[in-house]
Amino acid sequence: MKDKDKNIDNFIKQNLEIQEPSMNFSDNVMEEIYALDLKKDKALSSLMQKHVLEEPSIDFTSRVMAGIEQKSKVLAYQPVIGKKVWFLISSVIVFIFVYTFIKMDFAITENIYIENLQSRVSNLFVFEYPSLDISPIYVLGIFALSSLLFLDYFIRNRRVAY
Amino acid sequence: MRHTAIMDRKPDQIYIDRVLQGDTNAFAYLVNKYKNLTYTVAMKIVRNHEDAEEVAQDSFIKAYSQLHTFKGESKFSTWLYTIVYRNSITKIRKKKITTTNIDSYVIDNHKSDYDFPQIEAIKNGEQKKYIAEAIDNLPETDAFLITLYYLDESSVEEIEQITGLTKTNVKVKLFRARKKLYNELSLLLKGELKEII
Repeated sequence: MKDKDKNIDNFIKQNLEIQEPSMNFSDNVMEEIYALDLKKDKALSSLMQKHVLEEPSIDFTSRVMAGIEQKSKVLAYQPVIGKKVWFLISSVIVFIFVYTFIKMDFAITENIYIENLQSRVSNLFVFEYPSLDISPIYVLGIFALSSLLFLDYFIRNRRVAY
Repeated sequence: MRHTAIMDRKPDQIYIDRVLQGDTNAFAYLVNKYKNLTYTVAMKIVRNHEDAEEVAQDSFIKAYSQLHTFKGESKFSTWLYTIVYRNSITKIRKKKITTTNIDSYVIDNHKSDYDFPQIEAIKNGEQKKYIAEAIDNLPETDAFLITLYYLDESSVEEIEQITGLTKTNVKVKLFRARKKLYNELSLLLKGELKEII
């Protein structure tokens, strides 16, 4: 009996044919799927466009522009004269200060060592400069001014860095 | 639709040039044009009005001060959203380090789907709320990507540029986000589909 059933099964299997749909069946199915996805995508896009866009507070633009203006002001603090120029200026000032200090007549000084040093340093300058008869107050004034300018430069520079 | 974005580039470039030539006020045009989307995408990541405004504002100021580096090879919006994305990520990282409460984080990030009401209960005016809720249920980056994809109509390549994620990663995230939104908004989408058809 079992053998008979097996034979029938085999007979059916052998005679069964896998039937094929039309040539463009897969394409049609895929097209349908894409179309459905596209429609769903369009619907989602439409919903998002309608409902998702949010608005910041009313004065947002003016606050941004105020921030930009403030930033521009801070940037405007950047020194026009660069570090190198300041270094040059300060060197010149220091040179003038030292030169006049050496050239000054130390009437009060009785110290020979200082006098010797003064003459030694003076001898370094073999060329003759027009004598700078400036009062020590002027020299100190220039020195104080340059120090203040330096201080101002570094303070401003620090603000820009923030 | 996406080709309109290319046409939008020209007026942007005109204003960018004006700003670079010293006309600071010209920047207000760009702020007005992009403020809503900038705020919206920032909101998708930071999830808080004050922080989103701060991020959006800082992003515009940063964009202004870095405008000379914008080469015009991409859309201005793509460049701007790159700044917004980075600022937003920095913001939440800072916040998570300082203030994250594990319990509230778990609750916030596991809003169950069954909280979502039936279509009958959703009146027209309330749709916005439920869509926002559905997007909020997505991870921050996915919500950001999907917003850019649909609202700015950014391409996968542009999103790749904005986020620094790989193309494949962007595609996968977009696919997952869309699928999740389809499920959560299926009832609303049916109504919308009827309107479209």
